[in-house]
Amino acid sequence: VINLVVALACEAKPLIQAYSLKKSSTMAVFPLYVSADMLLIVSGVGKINAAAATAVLATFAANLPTQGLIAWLNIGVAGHRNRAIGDEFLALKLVDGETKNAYYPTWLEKLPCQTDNLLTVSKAIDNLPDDYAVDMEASGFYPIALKYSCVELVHIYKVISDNAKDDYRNISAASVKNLINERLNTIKKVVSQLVLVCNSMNRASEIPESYQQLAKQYHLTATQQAQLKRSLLQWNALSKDCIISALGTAKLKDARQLLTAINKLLANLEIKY
Amino acid sequence: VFSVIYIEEAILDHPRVQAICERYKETQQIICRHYGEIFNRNKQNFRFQKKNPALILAHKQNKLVLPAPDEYSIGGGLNYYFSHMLNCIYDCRYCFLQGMYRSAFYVLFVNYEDFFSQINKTINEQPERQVYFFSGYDCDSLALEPVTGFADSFLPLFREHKNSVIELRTKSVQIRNLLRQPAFDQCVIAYSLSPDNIADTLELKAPGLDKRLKAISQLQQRGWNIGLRFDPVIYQTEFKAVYRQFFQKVFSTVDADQVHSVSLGTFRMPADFFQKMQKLYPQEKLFAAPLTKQQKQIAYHPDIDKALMTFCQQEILQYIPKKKYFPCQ
Repeated sequence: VINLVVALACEAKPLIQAYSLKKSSTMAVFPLYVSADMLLIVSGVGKINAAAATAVLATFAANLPTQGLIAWLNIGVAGHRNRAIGDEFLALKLVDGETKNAYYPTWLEKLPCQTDNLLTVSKAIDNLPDDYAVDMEASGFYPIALKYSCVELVHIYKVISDNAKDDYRNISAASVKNLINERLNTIKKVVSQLVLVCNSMNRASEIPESYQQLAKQYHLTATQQAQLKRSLLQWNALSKDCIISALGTAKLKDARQLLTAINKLLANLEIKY
Repeated sequence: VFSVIYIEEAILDHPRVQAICERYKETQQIICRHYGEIFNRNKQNFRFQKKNPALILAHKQNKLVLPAPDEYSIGGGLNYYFSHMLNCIYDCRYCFLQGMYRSAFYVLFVNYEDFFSQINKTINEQPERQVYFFSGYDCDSLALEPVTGFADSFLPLFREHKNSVIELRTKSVQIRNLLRQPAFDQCVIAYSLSPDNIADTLELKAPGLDKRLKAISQLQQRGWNIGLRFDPVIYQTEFKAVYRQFFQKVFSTVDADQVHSVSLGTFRMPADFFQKMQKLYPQEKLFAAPLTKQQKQIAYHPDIDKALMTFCQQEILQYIPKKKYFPCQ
């Protein structure tokens, strides 16, 4: 699953269309669009709105049956003194213009586009800096999304909407929609790479399938649940056989007997490299 | 080689920084205030970062030279360690760095001259004693030699001080810089060695056993002191057959008379590091072995530990005299 946070409806529209997202009726404050594996929230302009919408989206996502880590992506437009309108980038350094807090999103795969530094400001500025793109949401989004995920899975993708020659006053909803539309191919690559990393991370910490089966059959205390998970992971590391079959038909009265039986089986396994 | 190079803003003009940036000018370079902003962040995944690590160029402020843990001793009275780098390009599943650090990115401290001053000071404070320094505690001493020039920079310092000994702990075969210069008594190139099946499955990205043995042989031919580090010994059901064959192979290549020291230790780990490592690799065979917690340490069950140590010790002492043998427990 990936969560997208965008500021404007005109930024959201091309994404809603591209990913066939449906409007959710459960959210009144921030418009929310959903599919089976993607959530998109429209935050409104500014970092406070972005932070609030990110938190709301995280709460909504936490109530879904999907388990594990979730990838997060802030998509939007930004200004840059020298970059051409339509240029796109992933932010690998983000600085909040007021607090000067710096963040460094970590991209693990081959980069799907250029990268740049990004400065988040509270009010639109006329003098764009030389070495940073400028937006109004990212530093609101990033630290909040990070609370629910990890540095490898929270990212910011921006398209340049204005520069020193053509300033932000000339931006219109239609032009922003076009900019995002024209960059859908890259956005899809960014999204799919992030989802790939996210899925790999979730697979790496997956609980063995046999756990659910055994947890249904035996009443387990919280400690026994942890012990069973650990023992089943050990079993999977050392044996290709199914633990349920290995346990056979022996009647085990309770969870304590189950854990003892598994530990006996573990002790008899060969360790080979 | 590196996904990104992060550079502390205060050292942008440092010659070592400039040389590395020039060498990797195609790599994205990002300026930060302090390496900790990246390296010490919460919510990082060491395992996944290891697939595409970044390099962080930094300035080490203090604690440049520290007393070494007792078990590092290879016969010297005073033991210290220093780390010009944090993390390693290899990906050994048993490595404690996975549990110690939040990030798998490499940190290179470029202010070598500050290390030199501190090392000089430490040596000069004890002119009557032999002072041992270990450089491979938080990184592999030689693995990134072409980038860091570590050995080239640091060895002249130890060459000058007859009452010092430097141990370079490594699995690397980057020995060109060493072969180019004359060997000297106060330097020990200490190779970590494991049987083929362990090297192949648990020492990912590291040179295989044969390559390491070849490097040792070349270094011995040029007169370098070699240390052999059989640490960690890894338990497996057929450990006797595997380790007997392994020691035979090692000592049929290495000139035992020219070996400076041999140390032996079984797999062990501070419990909090182990917990993190287990979380990173929940289905790792190494962590599924019969391990037990004793005080704050995870180690093999005492019976297994004793069997491993006793057997390996007997084997090793067939090849080298006891005075060169240092068990780590």
